[in-house]
Amino acid sequence: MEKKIKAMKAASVCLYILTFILMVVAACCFALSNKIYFLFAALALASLVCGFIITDKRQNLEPAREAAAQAGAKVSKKPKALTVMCVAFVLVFLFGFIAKCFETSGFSVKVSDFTLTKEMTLSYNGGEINGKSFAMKNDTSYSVTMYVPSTATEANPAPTVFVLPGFTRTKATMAQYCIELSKRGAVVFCLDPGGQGGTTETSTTGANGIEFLVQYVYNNTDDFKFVDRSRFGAVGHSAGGGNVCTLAADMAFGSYEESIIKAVYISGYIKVSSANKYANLRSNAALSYAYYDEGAFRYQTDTSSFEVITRRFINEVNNSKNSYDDVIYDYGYGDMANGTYRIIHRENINHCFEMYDRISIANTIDFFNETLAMGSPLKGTCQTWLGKEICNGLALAAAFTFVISLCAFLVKLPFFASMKEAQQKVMAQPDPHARKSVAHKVIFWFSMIVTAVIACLDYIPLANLSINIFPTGNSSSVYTFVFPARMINAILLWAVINGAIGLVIFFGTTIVEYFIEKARAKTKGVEMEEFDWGKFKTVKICSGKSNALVNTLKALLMSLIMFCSFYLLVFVSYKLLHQDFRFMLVSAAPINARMFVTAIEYIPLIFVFYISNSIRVNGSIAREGWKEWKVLLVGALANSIGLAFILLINYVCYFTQGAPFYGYWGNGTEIWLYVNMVFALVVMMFILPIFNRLLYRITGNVWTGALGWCMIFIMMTISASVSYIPMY
Amino acid sequence: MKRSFSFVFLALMLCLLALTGCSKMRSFERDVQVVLDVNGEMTGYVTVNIFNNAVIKEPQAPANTVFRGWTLQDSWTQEESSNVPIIQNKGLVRYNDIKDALKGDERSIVIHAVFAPIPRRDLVIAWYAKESTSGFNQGHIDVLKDKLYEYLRSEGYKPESMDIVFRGYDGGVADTCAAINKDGDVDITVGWSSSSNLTGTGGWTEGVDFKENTGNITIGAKARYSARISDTDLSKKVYAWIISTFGAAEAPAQSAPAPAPATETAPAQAPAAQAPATDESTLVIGWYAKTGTSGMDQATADALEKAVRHYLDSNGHASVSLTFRPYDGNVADVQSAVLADGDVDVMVGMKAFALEGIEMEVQNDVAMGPKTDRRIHRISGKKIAIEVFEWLKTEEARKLFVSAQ
Repeated sequence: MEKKIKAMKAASVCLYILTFILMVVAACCFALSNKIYFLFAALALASLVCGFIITDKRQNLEPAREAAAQAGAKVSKKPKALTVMCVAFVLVFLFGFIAKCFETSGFSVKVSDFTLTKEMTLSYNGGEINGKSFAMKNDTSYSVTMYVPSTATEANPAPTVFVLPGFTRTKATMAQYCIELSKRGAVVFCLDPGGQGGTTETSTTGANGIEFLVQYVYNNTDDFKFVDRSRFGAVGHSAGGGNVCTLAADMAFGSYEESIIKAVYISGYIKVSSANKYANLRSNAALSYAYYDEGAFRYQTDTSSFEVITRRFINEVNNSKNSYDDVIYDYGYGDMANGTYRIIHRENINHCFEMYDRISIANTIDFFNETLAMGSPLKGTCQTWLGKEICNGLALAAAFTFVISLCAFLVKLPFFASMKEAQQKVMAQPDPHARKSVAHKVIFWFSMIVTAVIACLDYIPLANLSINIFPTGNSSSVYTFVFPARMINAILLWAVINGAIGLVIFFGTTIVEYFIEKARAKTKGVEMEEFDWGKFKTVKICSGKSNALVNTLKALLMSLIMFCSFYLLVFVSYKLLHQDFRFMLVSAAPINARMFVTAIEYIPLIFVFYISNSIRVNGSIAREGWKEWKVLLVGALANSIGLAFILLINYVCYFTQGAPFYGYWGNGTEIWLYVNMVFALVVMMFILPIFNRLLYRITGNVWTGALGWCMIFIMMTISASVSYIPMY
Repeated sequence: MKRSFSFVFLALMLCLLALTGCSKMRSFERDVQVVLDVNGEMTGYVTVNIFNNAVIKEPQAPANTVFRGWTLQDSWTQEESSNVPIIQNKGLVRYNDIKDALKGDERSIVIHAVFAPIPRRDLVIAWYAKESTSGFNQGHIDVLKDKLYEYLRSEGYKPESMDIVFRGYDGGVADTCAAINKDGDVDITVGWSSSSNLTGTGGWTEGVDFKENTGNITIGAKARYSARISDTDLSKKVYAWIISTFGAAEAPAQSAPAPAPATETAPAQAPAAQAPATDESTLVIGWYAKTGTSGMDQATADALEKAVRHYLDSNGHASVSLTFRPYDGNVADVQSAVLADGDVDVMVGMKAFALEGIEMEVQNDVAMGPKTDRRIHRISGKKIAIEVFEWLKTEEARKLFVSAQ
């Protein structure tokens, strides 16, 4: 019977995990306009129902097992953590290896990183092209990834494409372009812009660094013999799109023949300042702007709207004026042979997922395939990058599993075992069959709803406040050691405020509930039942056989081990396989000193939110006497539904009015990009209570999980955003 | 457990329903046909929805009226035309502009062009707000205003109770001249350039769009021109006052029927501003002969001269006398020499180059020999100069600057 129960438990857990993954995949497919999301959603539904059925069957068998246990039968209480840990460890590298296969297109492309320095940009031709300087001014560096297909040789130099991500994104988020282009025979260079990823540059000069890179590759005929200097192209998304437009205009040199960039693809960027450069381009060019781009609300005048800019794009060519009155999307204007070719695309996607959109990527590939004469027979829609993305996502899940099982393994060691033993008393749950009063239920659910509503309503005002109170404000030119992660400052304020509110509500409602029960008993003239003060005890780290300080230090040590083991995995995976852990906007990338120093500033403050969540999940929700899945579900929803509602409000408004609800705030401050951040945040906030609960059950205290996950999640967020810290 | 199943099942079904609904998002987009009514005539239509705006052309305003914009209002009287509520843009229609006027399931709506009579003010003085060119800023205009009011008081007017407007115009000469024409109420301009510039680049006609234009008027930091546009008594009086107060004593007026003056006397503060040449039978192209700086050498100049001659001959300008003239020395020397010669139409090979009192059209970043940042300046507004200047933008001409060497 024991084996049967174990098998059923394992099966149900697997099904729940599968459900989650399928739902994420379904949501992503939906976001990517892929109609296959129906299939994934249906599979998720089936998987969840199967999980419930198995759980129900297993619970029916539990009394028999308990009876058997009482009869003296030995029952193994825990799955073997070491086994899970080893399997997770192997899976991390297995998925990493498969991802590498996708990234290198079956090992036919060599992928490597290098750092671009000032000396390098000055080392050939004095950093000049045609007498114009494109050398770095500061003693900083840019992080670059290079994709070289095996077909690119000195005898057969290949067309070369430079790829640039947008604001807050790192080069890894543009891997899909690199993979698909290199698979088709192009050499690809991708760069982290200033203040982002591994780049230490503290300005946006040189079109955010891309001009320095292009100059270096163009002039360096020693190391880059395999690139065809007459077939350079560039593509960028969002701010990156604006930067590649600047690059192509700055390197136009008067004619198509002289232009260094022969083809430029501007994606998701239609500012007038960029449009003013169209006439200066001497290269073939494409402009794409997502049909559902949330940022379009800013461009609604007869000089700035998408419709006006696209007319300029096809009419202002080679410093002369065409006279097209109408714009036809996906139609090629002009002549590819003399650099006057223009094409405009408008894909059915939104801004932040445009770079992951299959059609958008296909348009980009087809454009370069034609304009740079790549000669690839592969269709643009024939893409494999999603394989890498899924494997990196599975590696991320495996890495989390590894960390959790590592903690479960460590806590069995004598050193840490004492810490958990000391917590046994506070872990004691109230009688699950005890009837909860109506007042309790009202207070419990009311506090859940209030915290969710507050979390929903205060995020945007606090994002606006962060612009006003932090030195970086809304600027990309202020480099500072004081809270330099401009976009994360919004999360910082939100986390501190909502964490504090959560703590106040947790302690406050418990005390209020006590007095209500007391008053009720007095009114009825009966003696008050023993009140459940146990929820407060969850906060405590007990002394046990050792003392409380030692156990506290052990708890902190385990948090550090969690963090270090997770990022050690990231580091090793990247070093061995050039793979980090990510799924689209959620990612764990290798860290550097800049990110580490930045994180040190944010972790102590944001920890308020994490400990608040851990206390509420383990001290409140888990003491309702519910089944564990319900505890996890309510905890996850309570923590994420407020943020999910921000998205709901924003996009319901967007799809009915044509402008996002959160576009401008206060006196005209642009805050729409802060809503884009919620996509990643809501996923993390859903997972967090589940992870906090798991760690609590493993360690017996609320602190280890809260601190460990706080460090990991904050570092993940910082490494995927921008940090204006002046560290070289 | 059964109840839990029901709830979870229901929740998932709702999620599926939501996803399904979202996939039909386009149904939110209601295409609306917007018909354009210009003075009772339906001139066309465009289609808009929440994600698609439509670009429309501004209609030509009837005489003595100005196009204010588009309105959803059906009718209004001539007197009301200045107060009819208009939509945000003149050249763009958005769904948000018209959605509130749609009744029920209506998919079509008419917007009407609003033309209002040009408001008659006592005096409107337009000033060129592109400070880098005109040397004017708000401070200069405030001073001008104070002095003008003082003058008007001395003439028995009560300027405080009069409708006097000082209006700044920013942008290129063509755009600002078009804007002044569109506004239709400007009496006097200050800060623009010579008549040839106004007629050439600005597209104005002497005698029609402006009555007279006088140089060497120093109100701001530079000596510029002032033009009289209207024929009112007050306009004439104020214009004469501007000339006498801010102009050089000998500064002759470029009155409409009179030919442009050949020379103008410099004001005390500014070097001599040579009126650009207007003789259409000659074309003088200057080139910067300091090869190390300009990238231009004699071979390039010869090739260019040959090509320009060929262009003139093959485009019906065989009678035009062409002169290619080298200028050497530092930038200040060249500027002085060009001003002194006074007949240069186009200057090739300079970068920093400014002629006091003359507004020039510039082509930037022209590759000449090994240099990539040189410029071509059009100094005069002569038609032949404009035509050749345009030809210099072509690839054929640009190649000459590079390949002749």
